[in-house]
Amino acid sequence: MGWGNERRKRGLGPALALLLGLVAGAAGLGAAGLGGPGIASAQEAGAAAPYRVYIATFRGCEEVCEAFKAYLTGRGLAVDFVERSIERDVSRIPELVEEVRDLRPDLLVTWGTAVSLGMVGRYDAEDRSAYVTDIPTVYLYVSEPARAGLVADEEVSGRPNVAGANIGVPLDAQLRVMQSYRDVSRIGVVYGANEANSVAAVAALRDTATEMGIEVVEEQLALGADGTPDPESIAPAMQALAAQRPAFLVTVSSTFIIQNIEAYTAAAVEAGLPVFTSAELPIRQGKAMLALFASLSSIGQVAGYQAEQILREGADPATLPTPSLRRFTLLINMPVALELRSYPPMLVLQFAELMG
Amino acid sequence: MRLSVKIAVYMLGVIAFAVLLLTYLTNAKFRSLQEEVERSRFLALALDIKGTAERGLALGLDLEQMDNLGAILDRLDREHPEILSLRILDDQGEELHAAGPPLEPATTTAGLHHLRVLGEAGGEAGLRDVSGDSAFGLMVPMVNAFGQVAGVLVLHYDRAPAEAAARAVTLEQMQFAALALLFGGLAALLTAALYLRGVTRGFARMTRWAEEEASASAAEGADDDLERRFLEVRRRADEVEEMVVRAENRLRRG
Amino acid sequence: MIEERKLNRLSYGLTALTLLLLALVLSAVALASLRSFERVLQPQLAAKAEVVAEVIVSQVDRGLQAGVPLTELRGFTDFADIVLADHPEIVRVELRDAEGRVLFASSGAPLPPEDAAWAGEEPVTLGGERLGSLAVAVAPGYVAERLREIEGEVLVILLVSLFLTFEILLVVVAMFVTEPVRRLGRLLAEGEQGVFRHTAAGEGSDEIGRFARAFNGLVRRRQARYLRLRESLGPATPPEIAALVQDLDRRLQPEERPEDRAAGSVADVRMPLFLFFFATELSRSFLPIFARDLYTPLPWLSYEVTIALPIALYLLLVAVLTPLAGALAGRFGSRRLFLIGLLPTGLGLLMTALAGDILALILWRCVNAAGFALTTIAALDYIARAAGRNRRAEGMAIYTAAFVTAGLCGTSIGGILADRLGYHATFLVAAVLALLSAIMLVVNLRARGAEASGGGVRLRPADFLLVLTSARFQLLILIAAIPTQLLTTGYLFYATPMLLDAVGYSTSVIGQVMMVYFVVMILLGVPSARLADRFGRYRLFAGAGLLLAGFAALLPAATEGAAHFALWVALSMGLVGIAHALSIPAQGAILLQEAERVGGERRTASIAAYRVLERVGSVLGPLLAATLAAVYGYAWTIGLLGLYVLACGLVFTLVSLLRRRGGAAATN
Repeated sequence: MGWGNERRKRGLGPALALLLGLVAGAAGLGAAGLGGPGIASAQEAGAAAPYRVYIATFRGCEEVCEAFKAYLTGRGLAVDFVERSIERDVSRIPELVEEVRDLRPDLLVTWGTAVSLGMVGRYDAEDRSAYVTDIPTVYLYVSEPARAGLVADEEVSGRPNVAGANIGVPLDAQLRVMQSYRDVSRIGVVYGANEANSVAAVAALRDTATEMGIEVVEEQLALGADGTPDPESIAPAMQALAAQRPAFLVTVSSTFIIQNIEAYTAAAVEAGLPVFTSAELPIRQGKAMLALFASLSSIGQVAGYQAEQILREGADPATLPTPSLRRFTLLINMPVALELRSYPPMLVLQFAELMG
Repeated sequence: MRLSVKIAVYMLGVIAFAVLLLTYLTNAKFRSLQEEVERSRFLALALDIKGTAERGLALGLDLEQMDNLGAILDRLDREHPEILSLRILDDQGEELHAAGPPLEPATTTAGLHHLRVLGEAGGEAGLRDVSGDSAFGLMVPMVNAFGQVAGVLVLHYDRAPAEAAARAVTLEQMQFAALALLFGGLAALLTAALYLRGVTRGFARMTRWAEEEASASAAEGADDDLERRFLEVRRRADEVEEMVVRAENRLRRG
Repeated sequence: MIEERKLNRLSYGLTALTLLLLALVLSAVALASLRSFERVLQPQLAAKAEVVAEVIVSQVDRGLQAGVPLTELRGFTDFADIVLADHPEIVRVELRDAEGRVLFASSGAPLPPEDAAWAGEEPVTLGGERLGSLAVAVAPGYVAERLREIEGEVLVILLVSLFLTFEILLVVVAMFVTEPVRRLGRLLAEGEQGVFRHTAAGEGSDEIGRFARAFNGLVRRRQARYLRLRESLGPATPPEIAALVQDLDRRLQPEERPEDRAAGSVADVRMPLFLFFFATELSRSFLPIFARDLYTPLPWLSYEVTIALPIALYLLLVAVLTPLAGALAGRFGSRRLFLIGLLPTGLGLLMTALAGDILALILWRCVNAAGFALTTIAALDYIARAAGRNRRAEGMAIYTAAFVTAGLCGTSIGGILADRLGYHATFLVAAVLALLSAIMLVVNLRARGAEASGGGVRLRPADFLLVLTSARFQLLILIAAIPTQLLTTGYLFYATPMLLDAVGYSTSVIGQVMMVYFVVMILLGVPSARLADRFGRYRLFAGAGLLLAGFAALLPAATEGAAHFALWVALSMGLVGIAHALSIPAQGAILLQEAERVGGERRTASIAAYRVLERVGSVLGPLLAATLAAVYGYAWTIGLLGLYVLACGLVFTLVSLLRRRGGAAATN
């Protein structure tokens, strides 16, 4: 009679909602009302005097920095950019601090963990004499601001004059993407135990995976005489891991792996292991098959959004909510997928970018 | 007017009430269904475009840079004649890609204003109806990697053929209802007359008996209460008449 | 066959005939409409199917272009299922290879060929080579299935038509057949005695009217002859024919008898009254929601009290004004009172339609209440007069029937109208209907039956005191009457629309659910009263009714969140209807008994005072419900009211049992 279902339902593209892997678990985090002041009129731009924005980078203005600048100018803000690079030398940071204190720009932008920590220091640092404290600062491309000690809390910086964005791909989102590709009950990692960040990453992965009922198996790379892994040990490790039949091999944060990415991923493919990564490099330059990452442009854009709030709306960095990226790029390396005969299901195809 | 006619009128009245109400209800349901089917068709197209655009946005591309969107809009405009216009606007209302002639700016401004005022954070639920006077429209926001509305897709489609069809259907319904009521009325007349014929015939008979001056012969098929009583009455009336005649005669003699 | 008794049954037969015709006509109209709808909608559905096919194919294309072979497109079923979830009219999607064999499909069994309309078949190509096709099937009965969503409302139309037909034909038969025949019957009775002094009223054009005319002709001819005789007699009557002339005088002297003029009958007022009640009941299914929507903060009053105020004040005013109106009826006569009463009603409804905030609503509802009190008292007065002493109960039954039937029709139709036209427009319709009923009344009422009578009960404060201080009255009022009224207004009139609206049901459904109460009341009202009379166990019935009502009110809280929640609420309504059918007539009978015992001379006055006090419960109902609902939510508020009624029922039953035993012991 219809008495049981008189309510109105509006289902708009549940496909959009389904692939949770693309919408970070941090959907709960992240600013409400992000779109609010977001749509602004262009007329305001011409009237005000241009803002001065000082950008301190690690190795020059690359894709993230360019995207940041493009966002601000695209939003109609008149900005004078002052760009400085430390050319990978952290000892040059104090010079930049001095310059900032002299110039007193409207906004300071710091690229990467090293530069950010160097210029504004930890949130709990006692002695602030070496740091910039009184210029509003937005940190750019810092993957784990809380763990690095840049801020105390992920939702809001709580520090006067420091703001930024969360750009990491949450682990549960990564695992869900893998699960949407194929049945996953076990995943594997291959890494060298010498790198502390690798060990930490594997531990974190194991924690999240166990909560989701996924087993993590590992193979350690044999360490050479200098304490770093031996490149020859990659292939045997891959074969050994493959024998345990994990659904995916997951890359973890490791300088060694990045430096040997081609050999690493090629060996995995040889052993019949599809590689999943949450960074862009292993799939662009290596033979990783599936990647979920924040695009560099969007990393720049979200920081630009924070900058816009501070400059145009005069928001207080300490209380500005820290947005998180919610849409990530899902990239499939098709030649590798075809080689491994691991065809992507249609739901994944729908949302993925295809490479090759 | 005959009794059966009077009663049949009321019978028809109730039937007409029900028919009218039913026609109204079904027509309203039909119209909403028709609108829903049409709308969901264009919504499917719009959401498809939205999906494509948002894939690019997640990569960090600008809506402006995505030239394939322009080609998609053109193709859709060609393939679906009821689509009046397609527009992709950026968050400030500037046209980035377009297909079809421009439409009233008022309607799109209204929709943009909606999105501005409500501050859409969850882009998925941000479908806006921007139907103006000239056409029905949908506005679908396209959301970038951190939930910000990067732009909107505006699709306007022509409802004129659908509305003409709806009007034709309404006319058909009304014609059929009129026809049905005509037949219903006739049927009501017939059945009422049949059902009441006991009553009406009885009274017609009694009327005849009442009108005849000559006294009616007794028990001419009087087989129930009222008719029997009336015959008795008729007899008594004749008696009374006789009494008057007697009086008259006596008077004349005397 | 013209037996007076049988004539009453004519209306049943005619009702059945009308309903049969109705069913036929409605079916025909519905089928024809469905055909028209399908003719227009099928192409549209097919066009939509094509679009869906396009969208799916574009994704398939992506995979193909990336190098995935057509046969390896995994997860097609999941993908297709998601697409289908958004498009309920599409029943199956199939991906076929170049030979037409099905490679993948949405979940569900394959369709038999004649069952589906395969629309929107799109080719799947790669580099110009046709690899296969994608087919989308539309459910063939989709349009009919969607139309079935209004079957609740169609049922309402049928049910309302049923009751309307019954009412109308009853009145029509009474007007055109039964009443004239009754009048003729009186004349025939005289004629059987040989007396022909009176002529029939109601000479008309139908068969009965023609008979009346013929009968009158019969009578008048003889009267005319007699009159000529009399004239020719002169002043002195010759002795030899004196006796005869005297006899003739007795039999033929024309006399005008006021009762022969078509005297006011109850039937005159039944239709307009029905229409009047129909107009006032139109808003029953959404008035509290309407009040809530118009809410603007008022000083000193909480939110809950404010939105309950329109209903509570309405009930209060009706309670207060009714005895006053009784006195007015004595002064002015019912016809004038009718007209006086219809002005505030019509005005109140019209202005309610235009109301912009809650203050305006409260004001105009109060005006409405005044009109309601005046009109109903006028109606009762007229009925009492027209029915005469010996048919007063029948008159009351007609009044109650009109009220409950109109409640049924008004509540359900009002819900449907409000759903389509909105609340304000529905009040406008109500105003128009009230106007119509006014016109009908003016036309129908003969001035004769509506004179001032100088009657009416004046209530004194002593009457109220009597009611309040008598222990037996106290039991009845506090433990039976007030809880019943409380539940009626608090649950039925206030909380039900609010509860169902909060859950998300449309006004149409709310009207249908509330209709169940009225249906039960109509069906069981008379039989239940007769049953109570037969057994004389009024207290038992009253107590049982209270217990059942209390239990019924627990249902919504118990089934909160269940699927088809509306059905549970409807069940609860039905049970409350049964409970009230049991308990309310019984309470009335007990009241009469107690009034006899305690009131003595001021019997009628004490009954009237009792009725006024009883209304306290009805006024409290919405206020209490609103206040409780703020804390507990509507379902549990109803439950709490139910518990209270349950408790009162227990007390009442216990006390009655104890009294009975004590009384039995005393008589032993």
